[in-house]
Amino acid sequence: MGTNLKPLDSISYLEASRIVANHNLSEKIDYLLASSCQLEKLEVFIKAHSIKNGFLSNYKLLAFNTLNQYLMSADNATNHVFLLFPWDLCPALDWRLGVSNDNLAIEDYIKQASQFLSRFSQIGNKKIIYFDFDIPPSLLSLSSKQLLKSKLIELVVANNILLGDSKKFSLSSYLSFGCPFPSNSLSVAANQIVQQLQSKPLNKKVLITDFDNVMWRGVIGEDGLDGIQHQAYGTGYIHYIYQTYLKKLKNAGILIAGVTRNDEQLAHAPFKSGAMPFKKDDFVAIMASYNAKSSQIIALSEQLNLPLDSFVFVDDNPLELEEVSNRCPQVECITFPKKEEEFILFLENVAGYFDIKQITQEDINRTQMYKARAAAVTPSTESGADLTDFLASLNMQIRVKYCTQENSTRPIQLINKTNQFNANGIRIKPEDAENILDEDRQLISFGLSDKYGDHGEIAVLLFDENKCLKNFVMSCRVFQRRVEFFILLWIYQNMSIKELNILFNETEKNLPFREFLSEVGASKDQGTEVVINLQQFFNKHTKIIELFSVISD
Amino acid sequence: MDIEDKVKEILQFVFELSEEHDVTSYSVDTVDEWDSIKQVAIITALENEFEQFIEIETAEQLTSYTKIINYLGN
Repeated sequence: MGTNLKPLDSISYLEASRIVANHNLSEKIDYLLASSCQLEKLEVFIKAHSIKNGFLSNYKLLAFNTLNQYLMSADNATNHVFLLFPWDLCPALDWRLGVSNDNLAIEDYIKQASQFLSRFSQIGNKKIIYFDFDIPPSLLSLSSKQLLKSKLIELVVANNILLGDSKKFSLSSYLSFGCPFPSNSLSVAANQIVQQLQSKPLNKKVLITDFDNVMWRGVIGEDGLDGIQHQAYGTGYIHYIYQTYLKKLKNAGILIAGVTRNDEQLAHAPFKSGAMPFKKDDFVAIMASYNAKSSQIIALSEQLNLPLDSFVFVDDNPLELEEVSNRCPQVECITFPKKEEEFILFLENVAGYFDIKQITQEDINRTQMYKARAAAVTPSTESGADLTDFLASLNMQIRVKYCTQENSTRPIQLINKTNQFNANGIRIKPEDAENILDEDRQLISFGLSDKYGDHGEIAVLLFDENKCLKNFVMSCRVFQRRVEFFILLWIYQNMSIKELNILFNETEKNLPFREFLSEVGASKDQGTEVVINLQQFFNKHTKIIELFSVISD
Repeated sequence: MDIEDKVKEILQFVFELSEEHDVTSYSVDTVDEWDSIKQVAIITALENEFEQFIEIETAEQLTSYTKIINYLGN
């Protein structure tokens, strides 16, 4: 059994306290949180993670150092979550007792540990998490100490005990307060406890994967085939490893489907070269559309006749994950990590949902068997979950910059490389870039930051002297955040424009912009321009302003 | 958020007070509810929010809003 941890779900004390202070839940889960250590420090984090998972934690703690007494007469009717440490399995490994003078062999320690663990066999309702924290040098040889640790891990895993995140152990906190978790790992430990309470099933059958920044580094619609990275070197390495892992899962009978906000041609293009370890034929289905991913997943579930709770969904974009999670709570949503050092924990997290012990011929053929069914899936046009509350929680800040000639380079780059949210596909030639602001033109760029970080400059407007929008581009990295809506509202409030003319041209790749025009009620004007009535738009969508705070550069 | 705002919010949460409540004069000598359990909660919050480990000798001294601010300010 691997760790079932969501790597990025760590919250600060104040974030946890705000969650606890502002919930309106009533459903409780009662349990005993049993450990030989002091766990009061975990309280606010356990409560917050429980609320984030839709319930209230109503738990009791054992008094410090009474675990052994409790095990003598544990109440079988109680829901238990046990946290165990090496010194519970082998008392001589307790730092608080100093380094033991006994010369026990490794086998003696393992025998003690086995006897201790056998006491849990009579307890019915239980989840156990073992933290492989560091142990005193009771065995004088370093290699013996490492061997003992690994044998203890082998023993707990054989007893179906979950391994907790053991990277951070605080000897100071354990000696001073009886709590082995440092303050900066309390959230992670609390999250593991809460995840255990929810008992997610390990028999998932389908893994749905995003493409951009998951199957490869980069965005195919912006970086092109030559710009995305998926090779066994450089920035594409973890994506290469991820693809090889998907291949292994597919060959073991797990169905792998792709869901991506791209048009079909663009989505399939990277697979044509055959250079990637995961091939187009390895997918049971690829669903490429600009509509909600939850809708695509629901459509696939119906077509394959497999329930949503047998699905795992992997994406790097927290908005997509939130949208799917809101609309399809049965689907297990996992974040693809941005940092390489989080990749191993991510893989362990995914592996925790596919408990594959043996592979049959039917498993090997499963993808082929389901492909015919999946071929009948058409991209759904249904809208997805309402993300307004989630967007409000992002604390999005927009930086507005009236560009000068000197700082126009990056905005011009954005105009020249953006394809999907692009009003007309018109590029700025180098000779025109040098006098971009001549003839009273205005170049305005928008930067975005939120609680996930700074996204840099993400949208650019180029107005001519008549305040007609000659270029309007926005990075696809910030789709679904309503930034484009906010920009229209900003124009109305700050530029005294009641009717906005935009130079529009349909291109092969700008379907997202066309859908935006349709959504905002743009109408065709003369020639190649479309018009948006900003006054009407403002009256209808004022509330979107509340999602953003504005900083002027 | 600056240091003072964070410390105020921490104390308001630990003592279950509203955000308007003035905690700048709070200390173990003036507040009956400020016991060892509250002290552990306050130290946990400070360590987590300000990303530092506070030694036990120091933790035992941080018994008022003013002392906490002075400690973090240094």
